[in-house]
Amino acid sequence: MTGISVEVAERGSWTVLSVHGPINSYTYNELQEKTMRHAGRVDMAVDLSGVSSMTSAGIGVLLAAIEDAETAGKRFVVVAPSEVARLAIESTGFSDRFPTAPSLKELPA
Amino acid sequence: MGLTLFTFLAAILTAVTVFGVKARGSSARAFRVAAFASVAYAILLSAGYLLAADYRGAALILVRCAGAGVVVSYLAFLRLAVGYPYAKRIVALDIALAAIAAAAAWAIVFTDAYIVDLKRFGLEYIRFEGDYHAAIAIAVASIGILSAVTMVVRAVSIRSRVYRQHLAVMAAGLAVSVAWGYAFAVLGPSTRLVAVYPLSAANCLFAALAASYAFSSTRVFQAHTAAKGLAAWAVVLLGFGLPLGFAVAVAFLFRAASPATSIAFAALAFIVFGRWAESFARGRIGAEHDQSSREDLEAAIAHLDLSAGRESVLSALSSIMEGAFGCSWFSALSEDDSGGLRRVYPDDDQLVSTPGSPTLEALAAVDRHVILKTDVVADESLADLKAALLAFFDVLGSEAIVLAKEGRRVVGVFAFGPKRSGADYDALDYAAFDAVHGKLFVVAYYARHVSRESLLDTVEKEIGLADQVVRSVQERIDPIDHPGVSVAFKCQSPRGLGGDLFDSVRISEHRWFFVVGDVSGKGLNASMSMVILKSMIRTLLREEKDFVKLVSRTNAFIKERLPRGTFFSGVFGFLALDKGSIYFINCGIPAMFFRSPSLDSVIETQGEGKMLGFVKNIEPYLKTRKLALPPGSRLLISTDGIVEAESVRGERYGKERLVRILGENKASSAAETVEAVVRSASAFAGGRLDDDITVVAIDYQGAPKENKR
Repeated sequence: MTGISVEVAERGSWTVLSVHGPINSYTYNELQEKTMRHAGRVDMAVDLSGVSSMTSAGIGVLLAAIEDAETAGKRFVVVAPSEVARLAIESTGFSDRFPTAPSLKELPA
Repeated sequence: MGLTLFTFLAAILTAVTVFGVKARGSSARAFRVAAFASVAYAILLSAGYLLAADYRGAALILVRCAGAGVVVSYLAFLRLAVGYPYAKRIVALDIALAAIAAAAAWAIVFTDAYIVDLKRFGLEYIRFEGDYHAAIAIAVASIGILSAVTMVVRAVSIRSRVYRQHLAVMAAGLAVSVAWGYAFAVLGPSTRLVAVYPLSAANCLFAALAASYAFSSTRVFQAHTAAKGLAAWAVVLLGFGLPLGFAVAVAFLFRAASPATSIAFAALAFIVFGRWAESFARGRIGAEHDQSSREDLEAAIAHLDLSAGRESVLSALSSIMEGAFGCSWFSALSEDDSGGLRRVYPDDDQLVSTPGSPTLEALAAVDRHVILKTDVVADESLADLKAALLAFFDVLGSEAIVLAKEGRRVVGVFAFGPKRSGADYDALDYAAFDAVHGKLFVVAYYARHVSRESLLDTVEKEIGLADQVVRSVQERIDPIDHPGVSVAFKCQSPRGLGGDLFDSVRISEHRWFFVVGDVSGKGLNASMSMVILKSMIRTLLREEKDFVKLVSRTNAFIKERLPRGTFFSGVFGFLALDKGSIYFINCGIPAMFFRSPSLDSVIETQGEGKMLGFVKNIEPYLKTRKLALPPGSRLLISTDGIVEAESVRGERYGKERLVRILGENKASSAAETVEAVVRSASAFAGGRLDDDITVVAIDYQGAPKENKR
């Protein structure tokens, strides 16, 4: 099974997690671990442009990160979701719960 | 010129370092006065030295001001020696020291008591000393020595090890500073050291840098570690610095013949020797070694067998940690159902922190997941939480803790007792704790969500026997046993335990409630959430007659009571078999297909839906739909595990294949159709489905005859 890679980098005031590969029940642990480390502590952007598939496991991780950010008054943004990631987000019926930026360059200041 | 430039650069570096110190209070103020006076001394003396060749008048003023600077610096260090680490103001002492500084500065700058005149011829530096030069020099050096001795005395008497080490480091810095200054600045001009006189300007920088370290560091270092580091750096300096110097000197010889080649050769030598030295230092000074040890520790934790039971897992973790850190004991606390922290290893079940206690609030508020007791004592950024955190350390008797937090919620705490060697946890330990935090989090999460050992024994046996417990809950439904309908379903999880859910509840003779869906998450956690949710829906069903409100209250329960990030995608429905209708609310079920015998076609019926758990109030988004069921019709409902199943080539199973299976199984029973769907998706995915799946088929045969009458 193809693995997932989650790279963490700083970009201005944002901590950016760049995800590559499929997010499913076998791979979501790494994403969960890294989002939990940062969610609610920093302004976090999750770059989903490299996501090849995303199941509900990935949505759950993002939702938890969003709720942590809201609780702590931090910002959370999904960046450039791939087509499959966008569809997974839309399937929740609450796309507006996932603030989205079209690219890393267009992250809010 | 080169030495003067070196001193300028050292002064700038020191100033930058001092600017980076964020400490507050009277001790920090004394430190800043001392440090900036030291920097001013270095710059003024160096500038005076440069100007002494051609601008003697200006040079004299600058050098006198530098002398005043060193007096101010040492007096400020004396104030620091008396007050550190406390922020308490000592007004009388401050006034006295300020008065002495002002008087000394006046005497040095505005009279001939210290220096009368200056002159420099190349490296020859002549200083015409005033009548009291020796007395002033000795007095200033004495203040420096007094400050250092005071620091040593205080270091011996202070209880905190981290402050003891700070005072010792500052005292050492001051001692070097005084010795350096006396050798180069006082004796230098009258000895052979005059050639390196500009170095005398750097003397106070040692004390300033040592104090900067004390104000920036909150962790102790082990003497042998520091000695090893210094020795390794000395080897690097000698082993690489000497050959480099030789190479540059050779290049210097050819500067007249070919300046460009000479410079290029020297630059190349710097790069080559620099890289060799860096590579050597990484291996020998410890970075790679430390990294390797941390990776071994991570691997050891990652290989813990979580199926062995909580007590066994934590016992094994205790052995690993005691071996890695040399701690005298290891303890684990876990969040209990009330939100408090309870000790689970050793399992005395003691409630250590009650929900809402200042300790828990402090742990929730702290913005780091590794806390050393020395951090709490010495780190000013923790000042607001200091009392509560120290109380927590005292209750546990520990010296270091690692927190496992979900956002602000503290899921677990790992506590480490004092080291067997008696040493404190240091910066290397901190880095190791930090490196393994992710793995410890998994263990904490496991400890939090796996019930107590006595219960776990039972549960684990059941889990070990192919998830019978969860399956029994999953299968505990009111079967839809009605002559007008045939219902079949299948829940399956790739890991034995999953979050998919099908439940049906008999409301009346011809009415049934059902829910099909997927609770997010995987494995044991998802199963637990599913079991809880199933139970809650049944409870709400007894209380709530309004269909929309039932779903809305389920949403609120998920949002408020289930673990953060949990959501539910599925469908809630009522079967009115006497009317031949289904009323349903789509909450994000991905596939709900209807096949009518009269149309002989398959229609996707679920419409738009909103998953539960995303917003607090979902009621405005909920829409009840009605679907008329003609006799012979079939409804097929599937969770995302089927639709999103992937082939080895990365293709999705999709809805089209589901429709095709439905079409191919027109004559099959509901159970056969469900089996056909699961078989097809499984074959598509190469025999391995990645996600939990639930498929439900409802065949409607028509209203019972007695009702038709």
